[in-house]
Amino acid sequence: MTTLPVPVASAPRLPLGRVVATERRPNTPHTFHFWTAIDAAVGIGTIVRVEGSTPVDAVIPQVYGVVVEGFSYSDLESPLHDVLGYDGQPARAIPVPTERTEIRLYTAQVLRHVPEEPLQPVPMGQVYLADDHDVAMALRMDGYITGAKRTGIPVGVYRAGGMKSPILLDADFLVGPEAAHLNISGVSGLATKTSAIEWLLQSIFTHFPAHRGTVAAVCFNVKGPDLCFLDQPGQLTDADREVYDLLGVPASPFERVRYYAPYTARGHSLNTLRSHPDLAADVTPLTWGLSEVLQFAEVLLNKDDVDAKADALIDFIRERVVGRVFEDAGLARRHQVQSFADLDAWFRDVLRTLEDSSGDTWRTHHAATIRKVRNRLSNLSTRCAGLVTDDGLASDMPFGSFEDRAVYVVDVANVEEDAQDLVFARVVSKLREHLERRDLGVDHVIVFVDELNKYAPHDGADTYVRKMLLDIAERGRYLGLVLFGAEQFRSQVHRRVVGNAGTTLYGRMDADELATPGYQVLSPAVKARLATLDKGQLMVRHPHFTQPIFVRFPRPAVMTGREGVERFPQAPEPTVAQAVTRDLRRLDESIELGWVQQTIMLYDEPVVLAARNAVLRTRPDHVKAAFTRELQRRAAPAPRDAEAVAARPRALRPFAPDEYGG
Amino acid sequence: MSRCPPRYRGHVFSLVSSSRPSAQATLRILRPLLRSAPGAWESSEPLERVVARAESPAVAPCTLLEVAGARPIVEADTPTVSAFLDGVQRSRVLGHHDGTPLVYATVAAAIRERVDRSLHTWREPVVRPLLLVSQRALGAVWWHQLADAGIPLADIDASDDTGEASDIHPHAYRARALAQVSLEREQLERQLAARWCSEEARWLWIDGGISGNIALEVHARAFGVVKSHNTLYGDADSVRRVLALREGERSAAFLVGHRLRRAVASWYLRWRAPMAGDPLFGLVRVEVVPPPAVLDADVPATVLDEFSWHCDRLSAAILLERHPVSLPDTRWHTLAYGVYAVESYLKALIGS
Repeated sequence: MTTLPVPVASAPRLPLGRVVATERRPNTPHTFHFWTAIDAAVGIGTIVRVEGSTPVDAVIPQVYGVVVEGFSYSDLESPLHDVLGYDGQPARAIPVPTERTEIRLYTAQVLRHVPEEPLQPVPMGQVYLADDHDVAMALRMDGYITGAKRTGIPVGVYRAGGMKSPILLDADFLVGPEAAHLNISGVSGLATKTSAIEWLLQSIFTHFPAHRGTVAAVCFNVKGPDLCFLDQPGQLTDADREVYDLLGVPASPFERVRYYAPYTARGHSLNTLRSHPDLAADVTPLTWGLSEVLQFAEVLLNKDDVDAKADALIDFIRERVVGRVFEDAGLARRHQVQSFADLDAWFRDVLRTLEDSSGDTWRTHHAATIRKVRNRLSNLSTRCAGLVTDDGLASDMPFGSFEDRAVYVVDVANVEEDAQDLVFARVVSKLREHLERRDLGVDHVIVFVDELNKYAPHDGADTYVRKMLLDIAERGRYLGLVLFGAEQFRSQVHRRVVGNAGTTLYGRMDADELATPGYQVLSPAVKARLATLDKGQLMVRHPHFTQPIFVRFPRPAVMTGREGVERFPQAPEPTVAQAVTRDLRRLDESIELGWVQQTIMLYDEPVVLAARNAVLRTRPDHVKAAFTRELQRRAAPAPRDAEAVAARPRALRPFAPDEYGG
Repeated sequence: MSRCPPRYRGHVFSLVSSSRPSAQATLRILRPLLRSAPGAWESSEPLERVVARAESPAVAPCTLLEVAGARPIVEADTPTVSAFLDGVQRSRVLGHHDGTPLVYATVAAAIRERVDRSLHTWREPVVRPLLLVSQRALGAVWWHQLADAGIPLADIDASDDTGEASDIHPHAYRARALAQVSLEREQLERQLAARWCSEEARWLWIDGGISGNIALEVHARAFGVVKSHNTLYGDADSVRRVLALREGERSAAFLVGHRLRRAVASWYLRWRAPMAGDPLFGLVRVEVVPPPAVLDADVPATVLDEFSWHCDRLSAAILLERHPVSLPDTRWHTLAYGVYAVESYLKALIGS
């Protein structure tokens, strides 16, 4: 953990303004007004300190505030007077030897009173630009940025009057357990949201205190190549490096990044923009079999699909069939269902038994229900092709051996929506299971989800994914499961998800979004600033900060998605032989394309890919031998293949069309 | 000409001084005497608004220094004036004792210098509080008690030199008090002007006439601008010519004053074009200290030419000060923004 210097008060400075109050515009304990010279370095978001002149209980009161509104006016009573002064001709070249008297009047919201009691209206006094020490005091950072148990996490720098003051969040309120979760909103196209998350993860990994345990991050890359190059260095300016130095964060890419992506539908290569030969070796296939998927069938099956009867049958299959030896007197043989292919064989056997028995039900399940569930479950591997395998082999994330300060990127950007939901539901559920058992490998996991308005919308269907996100938001902090969510429109995200975020970041906001009720607490000037924020600027709300604060953060020290795809262009879709060669060479560099072409020549493509997957999963010492063995084993006819061609008695009566489940 | 200043204990307080006795502090001391409710004085109108000072319009003769006639002036390109001087006064009746008013007044004067087109206070403004009472009516005990409390006192009776019965009218007391306050203000203005002239070589615009300011010498870089014209100078033809001046024209210079060596040179300048046929609209009168040679009977032509050039140059500088317009002040057509800014500044200091 890197230690930041303790902020110290700067040398005495001249006041830049004076508190002013009138009967019509009085000061209160939470708001005050002050004026400055017109060239004072004060603007919306500037933090100031008021020094009172009259002691209260023998203490000179000091009040810290942040500027939320500004006014400027001259001694003119009416615009008409200026019109008269220029004879109504704005372009008229009238020499004006004296500038009109002009005032800069600011309204500030109180951040902190020192002493806190008695809480009184802000006194008349001189106003000073806050220095580093003042900023720390104003934002109550003094409670967690010093001492052996410090928990400060730099989020950026506050700039005013040529100063740069570090702004730190409290890890206990960012990662838990006091509060947790972070939400960031902002318009698309500025790359602020993703950059801010990348920067903040770097900061957390550097400054997360050892006495608070270990931490890792799981990032779902749901669009574009944004998160595909976290291990590659980015382009930084000198100003960026200065901020990195100031905040004690190394200006280097993430040291430990693990990438996971499902295969494409054809199964030749991984479905990721990180497919350049120089980088593809770092991406681990993410493939799940029947047992992994069936637990989350609810994610993919909507309520119309799964009524109570179908639900009962799915439960029966999950509890009694999958992963076990299943025997039934009526069935043609004993079944051991490990894959979708096995399950389909089981369904065929059950349906044939039904047909042979002339009955409508099998173990209380109606034939129509059985056909409907067969149809829906068999469909899963098609809908999630590349992610869900027919042969039951799984290649999963390393649940149980997560590493401290590692980023696990799950690239589902090019995957169908259903598969995205499935990946999200299963990964988060597994994280939760392991965190509950305290055997994940780390104490805290930050889950970054972009497009929250899509996955946890304010309105719309109550999906499995939304329920999961709500669960993380409301209960995750007790487990160490922390949600970092991003979206373009905060108002379109479920209010319980954003409401439970202890820390909120705002990039540049859309004017329509700012007009929604959630932003009513902000002054018009703060809204105007939010609508014009530049890249690298954020407004931060944090439990210790009584008012939002504007900060700047540096460019993340990782390669941007755009730069990454230019420098590491996506590889063309390989042939099956090329794909197998590339994948097997990760285990055995002696494998050549010619050998692979010759070896797979006599086998069907699905068999070749299944054999490859099996070898990649088992990582044998003798890769060539193992691959050949898998090919041969898979090419041999299985019982289900024999069943498919064996003669059997005809059904006594045909099924009605409606029995097929529509 | 100026009258003798009233008797007072001469306290001049700078703005930053916190020891200036406020009206409230004075009222606290006077409470046993006045038996008035605290704060009652605050609702009273300033005497400056209550007392009417109507004077009869007059046309006074003068001595022309130049050939009669209008002279067109071209507005200067760059400012000549570096600072503006003005003073303000506020007077309120705190109460009455034995039929005489007790008037609390504050007079203040300041110079605002122009730096980079912005006005800043030169040195420090001078602010002087004053309690004007009838020493005779108040009695020696109270007079000394107030004086010992550090309250600057002035005797209203000191300027009662007519001996007429009407002088004991309460309103006559008020009017005399107001006149004394005006003299106080003028004195502050004169002191400040003298200080500027002794320390600075830049031009000072003084609001009002300079005829009472004996501190101004011929080499002083200061001039006065008179906005009101209760008295117009010249004979009937001269006055008609003045009233007919067009925007940017000045009249011939003339001498104002009964005693030659104390006379000031003056001329009219049409600062803004007349509106609605009002001949006094936009008309100002400039006062400067004339070179001694101009006062001689056989003044050389070169001296007069040089003096005329000087008047033209100052007029051009004054015309330049027409912007920005000093609206919303009702005197905007004759009030320079710099002077308006000094007034605003002083009113903020002493309250309205």
